[in-house]
Amino acid sequence: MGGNIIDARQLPSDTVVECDLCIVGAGAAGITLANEFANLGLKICLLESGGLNFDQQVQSQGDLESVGRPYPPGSGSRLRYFGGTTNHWGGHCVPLDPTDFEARPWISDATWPIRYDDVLPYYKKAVDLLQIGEFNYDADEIAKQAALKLIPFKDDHVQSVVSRYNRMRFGLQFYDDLANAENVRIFLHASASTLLLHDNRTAVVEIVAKTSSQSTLRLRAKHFVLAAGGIENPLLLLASKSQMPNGVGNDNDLVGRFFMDHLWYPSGVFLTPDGVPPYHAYVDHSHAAGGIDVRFHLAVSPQATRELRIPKFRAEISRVALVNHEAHRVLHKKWSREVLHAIADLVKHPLAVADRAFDKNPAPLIYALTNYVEQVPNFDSRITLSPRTNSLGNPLPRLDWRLSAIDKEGIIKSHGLIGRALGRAGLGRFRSEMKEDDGLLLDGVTGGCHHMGTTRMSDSPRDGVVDSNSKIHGIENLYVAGSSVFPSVGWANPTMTIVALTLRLADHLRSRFAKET
Amino acid sequence: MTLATSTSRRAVLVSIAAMLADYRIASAGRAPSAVSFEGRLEELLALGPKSATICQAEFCGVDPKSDAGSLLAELAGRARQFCKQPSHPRPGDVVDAINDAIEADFLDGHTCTVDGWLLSRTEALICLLAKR
Repeated sequence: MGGNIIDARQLPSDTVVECDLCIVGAGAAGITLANEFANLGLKICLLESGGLNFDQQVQSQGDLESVGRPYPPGSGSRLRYFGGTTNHWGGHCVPLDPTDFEARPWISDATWPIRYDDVLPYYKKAVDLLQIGEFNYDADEIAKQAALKLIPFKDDHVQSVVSRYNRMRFGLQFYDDLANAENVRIFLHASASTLLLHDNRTAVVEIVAKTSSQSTLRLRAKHFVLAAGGIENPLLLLASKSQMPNGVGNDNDLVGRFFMDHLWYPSGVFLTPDGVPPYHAYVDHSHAAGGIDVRFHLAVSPQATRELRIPKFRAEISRVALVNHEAHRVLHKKWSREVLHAIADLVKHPLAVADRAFDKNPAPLIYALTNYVEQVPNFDSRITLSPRTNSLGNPLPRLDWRLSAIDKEGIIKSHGLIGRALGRAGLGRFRSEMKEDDGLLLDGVTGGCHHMGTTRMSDSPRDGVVDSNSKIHGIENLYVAGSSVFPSVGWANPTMTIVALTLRLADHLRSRFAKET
Repeated sequence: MTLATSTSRRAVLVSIAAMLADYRIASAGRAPSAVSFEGRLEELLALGPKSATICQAEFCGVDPKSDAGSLLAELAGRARQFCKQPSHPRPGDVVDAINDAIEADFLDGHTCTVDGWLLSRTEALICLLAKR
């Protein structure tokens, strides 16, 4: 380690560093932003709470206290080392749908203050940065180019959608560029702990970072960007209460609220009749133009979503082999094998099921659906400060994760649409695993580890934490990058939108710096 | 779901299977005749009960105490509209009509959930009739 890669533990305590732009967090957002300013002359500081590699002791600083609906334990979805959670993400790159940005009267608090067209140019840039070929998400066109067969639905309620994949490790990908950039300094093992404001409370003067060697580092900058993730961003704002009792940017008690995740769960299975070809394009990754990995999924169409007044719904399909764990569970705990075969024969032809004795039937083609469903904003679903602290003395985040009735309603209605679409097209029969009589329990539903919404974007400070430029309302030089600014989340995995919005923020900051100089 | 109900549902489907196997054999090579749509359907279903044990489930909100005649009438009513020659149907015409009725059920939302499976009402009626 040397040059502009600095281990903050080795610095004298209370070292003061001055720069133009201080970025907190070296994950997808923070690295993207730092890279946008590399070699541009401005002095950039990038803070990372971990080092260049995984360290369990550092990772444990990110423990989470869960007090609401059970949330996936551990902090693996918030990796604390250079590159952040891109060090083990799945590379799933897909933009939000244009309709995700529009107001939906049946879902409260879900309106973005910007339009899809405001983000589109940055999605196109994000495609280059993420190295996923071209900005083309036309499922039919991509399938045709790649000679892949899509499920021939007979209606437009359920549709095939496509995602591009590249498991880019941001830490590895951009390390050389950032390490060699003369204007960028990267401080490792520097865990941002508090924001200090100017006396007038309208600007941040300094970020204080702690290290495991009990020292502190003080970062002073013209502008600050929090890019530490959907849990750590609100945590830092809430923990900065020495000058503002409710925390920074929290005059309206909105910081940390509206925590959302994609609802993830194995939702059911469907059987296909003989003669229906295997759905390889959905089960496996394929190569599109340029050798880019693509995979197709099922989604309820925006039109059907609007007609049924439900949240957005997407399902991923995987093949269930009768010998694997899931099939074992299904066959031995849920249904009998005989019923499975009987349904399979019913599917094959409802009036010609007796050609074969049941015990001689080959195993039917079974597909499992795993859903990634939009969670709607819920005011009471929130991050607050736990009285417990981590080894640095910083408060742990306390998560009270809550769902809403419409989340469940949307899932049940979407299952109905999928079952009907498959049945109508003669493509199979669907069996839902959802229990309709368990209230909001939604047994088996957990989070996809996409932490979103906790510093939501809004036109007015009454409705959110940051404005349409991602600047904290009422604080003139403090910005937030990452999925915590999403006021609603659709079904799209968040990273591509995180990168696009960060590129947009970079443009805004460059413009601001230009005006200021 | 208990083993008992699994077995019961299996039995329903097995019975349909056996019924239709019998039907296929019986109908092979038959020429068009003057038998009505309902007659054909009844003929088809009449072959079933000899192997049908049966169904304890309620399907699609149909009253399980409904008499076979009204169930058959509903099934015929659903399928008849899709039959190309409803006045003088051949056995294959009835089969095609039922398949079309099932597709229409899924289109129109005439579906029900049986042990989690989303089935069409026409399919459910067949299952119910199989136990009569």
